[in-house]
Amino acid sequence: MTTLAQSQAPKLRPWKLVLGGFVVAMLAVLAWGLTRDPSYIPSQLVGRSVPAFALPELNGKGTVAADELRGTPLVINFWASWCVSCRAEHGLLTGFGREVATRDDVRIVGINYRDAPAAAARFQDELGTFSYRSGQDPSGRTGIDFGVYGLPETFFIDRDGIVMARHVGPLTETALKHNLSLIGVTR
Amino acid sequence: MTASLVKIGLSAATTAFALSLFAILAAALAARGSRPAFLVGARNALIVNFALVTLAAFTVMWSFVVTDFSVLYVAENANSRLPLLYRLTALWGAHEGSLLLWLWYLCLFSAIAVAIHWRSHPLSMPWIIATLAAVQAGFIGFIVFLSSPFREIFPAPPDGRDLNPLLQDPGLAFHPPLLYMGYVAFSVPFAFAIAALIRGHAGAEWVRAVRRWTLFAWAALTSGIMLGGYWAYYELGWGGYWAWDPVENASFLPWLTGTAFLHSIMAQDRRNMFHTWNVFLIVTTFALSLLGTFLVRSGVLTSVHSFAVDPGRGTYMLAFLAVVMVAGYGLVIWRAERLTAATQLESAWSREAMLLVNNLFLLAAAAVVLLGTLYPLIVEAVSGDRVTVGAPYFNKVAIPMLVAVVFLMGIGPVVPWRSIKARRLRDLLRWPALAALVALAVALLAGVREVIGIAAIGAVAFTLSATLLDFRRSVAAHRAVARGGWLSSTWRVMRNARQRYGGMIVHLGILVIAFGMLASGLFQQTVIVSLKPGESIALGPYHVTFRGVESVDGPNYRARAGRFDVSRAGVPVMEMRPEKRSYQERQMVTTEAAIASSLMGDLYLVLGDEAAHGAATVRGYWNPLILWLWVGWLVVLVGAAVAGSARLSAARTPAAAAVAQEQPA
Repeated sequence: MTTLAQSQAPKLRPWKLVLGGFVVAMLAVLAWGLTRDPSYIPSQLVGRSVPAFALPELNGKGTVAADELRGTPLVINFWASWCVSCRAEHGLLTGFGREVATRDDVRIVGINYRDAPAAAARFQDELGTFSYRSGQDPSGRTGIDFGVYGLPETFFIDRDGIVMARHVGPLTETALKHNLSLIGVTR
Repeated sequence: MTASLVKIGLSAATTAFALSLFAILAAALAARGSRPAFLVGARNALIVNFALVTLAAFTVMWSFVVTDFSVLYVAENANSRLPLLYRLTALWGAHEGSLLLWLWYLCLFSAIAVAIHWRSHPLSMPWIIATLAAVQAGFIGFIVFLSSPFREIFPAPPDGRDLNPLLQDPGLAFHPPLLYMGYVAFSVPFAFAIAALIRGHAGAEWVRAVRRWTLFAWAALTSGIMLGGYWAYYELGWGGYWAWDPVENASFLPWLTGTAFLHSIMAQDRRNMFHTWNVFLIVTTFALSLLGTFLVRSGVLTSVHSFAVDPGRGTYMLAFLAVVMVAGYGLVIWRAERLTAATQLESAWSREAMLLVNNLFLLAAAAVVLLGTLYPLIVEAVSGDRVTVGAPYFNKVAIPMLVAVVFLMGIGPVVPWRSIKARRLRDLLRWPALAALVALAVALLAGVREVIGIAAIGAVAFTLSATLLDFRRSVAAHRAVARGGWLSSTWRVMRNARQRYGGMIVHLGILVIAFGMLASGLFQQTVIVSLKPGESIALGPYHVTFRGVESVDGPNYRARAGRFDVSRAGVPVMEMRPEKRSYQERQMVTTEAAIASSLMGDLYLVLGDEAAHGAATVRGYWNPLILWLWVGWLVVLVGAAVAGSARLSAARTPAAAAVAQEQPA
């Protein structure tokens, strides 16, 4: 009986340490993986000049062009009425737009990506109007120059016209603040 | 009206969550105090949960059928122009619905498992129910609180965003359900193993009970992976079927360990060995199934898929995985001494030793694939650099181990349990070795110079001849006694030992797949050229002439289609039209390769960019014998069905056992 009881008592064996260590290491690596910002996708564009564009304005009255926006830190937001995730960042963007209208050290423009002006207008009627201009990119040509992968995407450009950051997915307060700091703007 | 439908779905899921918690508690109490009424309550809770989750899944599916865009998940994954078939399969087109499908399978298998094993495993039943209910609770909690497909939006958008165009293909529409079926079916053997560990019961009963579940899970997982490869080949347009992408690896990992488990449980059944090893393997397989779901769905590795990832979801999934791993491996470590095998290895030349070596190779392959998959994460954690581990790493480290497994497939089944005399083994393997040498010589003459390719050809020839010879020996032995014809003897031999010969048929299927992989991998021809209308190229036995590009419109896309005339030995045989489609709603461009399949090989054409004067870039492939991959898959399924039809319990009756003794299986 005693031998049986002894043989059944848990013992510390090398393989148990290896297995236990493996479980801990595996979970640690995955836990670390979760802390990364999944919206950070390396972009070819970061560190380069902003691609040139000149787009008709969404309201049909003028153009939004890269040249006229030089000299001030700039935020470019790609959006569309069919993009469900764009709804999530809409409030933040309209609020930020109103704030930008009162300062002269940063500007923001939207690019309405592969959308119909009427649908874009309905979208703003429903959720709130942007206080800044948006250019129309119905064919997505400008989006290709920027390497847009999926909406929404936001680019942060410094005063020399160099792209400093790209944010994929809905903007958050923290992401906006962090990326603005990269182009020398405090919020 | 329909908006309230998903509200019903949400209530059903919430009720199921409460019932799964009740089932854990009631089953645990039943185990402690052997109170049968509690156990009956817990069982009924699992059966009711199946009905509730079916209802919940149905509400989401119906919302897709009637394109109710007030349901957020529908608005994000369907469009009024999407055909009905894809509106139905859109249920698993994204994160929330995929997990709902996972859960539905889990509830289905739980209900079936408790129903069929209720009488035969009364002592393990409380812990089986508690384990299944705990896994259910983990998934339902996630769906109800963090990743709800029942969420509504107000006001409803006029139209939806459409299903990801890559998923608008029959191959991919049915790939996730099969894959998940395999993943989830491993939860039943897992629950049996946990019950065996908690009870500290070393017997082979649980292994016999889960044999069919394991076979089923394995066949479903194999089918899911093969269908995924088929989809990658036909839809992605790069001429290959497997890219060692993290998502593919995530499904391959449980396949490797599940294959190991499928083999090693035979040793516990027959020789009462490998107890700890078996519970370790099934805990690993189930954990890897969860990891597969976790990697694909959390955005840890595939950052491009992580749009709507909220950090809460990832944390929850990781916590869930941690609970399963700590509980599972913790029990293995704690209970190992109680499970110590009664028998020891008698000889290095025995079936059980061969199974052990096979297991070690499969596990080593799983380890290197896991390492390669997670390596980018590890490197980034340590040095901050972003790296990707590509196909060359996996081909270099994993393929040799798989070649070794193929080689062992030839030896293992002909070696009997306990031990074999060296001379007898030499006799058995003389002809297969000769066949391998002949194949090596042919491969060298055919111009194959890659060492691993040559080794693989040798291994396939060796195992193929060993397997066929084994069939022949058994049939000849039967004829010597029963004097039947060759056909009727083959039929009787197969019918009397279905487990063994089902397994051998699966082996033949795997060999056919390996044959197709080798031929298409070693002798593929590739051309990338810019062609003007009227120009032509030679590919395999064909002569392909470019005629021009034209526009074509589909229900929810526009396309540019290339026209190619194909002739063979000067005789026109067909026209091929590869397309480049642009889906309007998602703004995605996909390539539709044109493929002409035959058992000899596939002619595969992809249309690239167009240039001035009607010219276009064309990628063409000649993939010899690639159709054999899918043929081999069918053979594997037939074998698995034959093996699954064998009744192990019948073989345990004294009379049947006496017959079984004569069979080496």
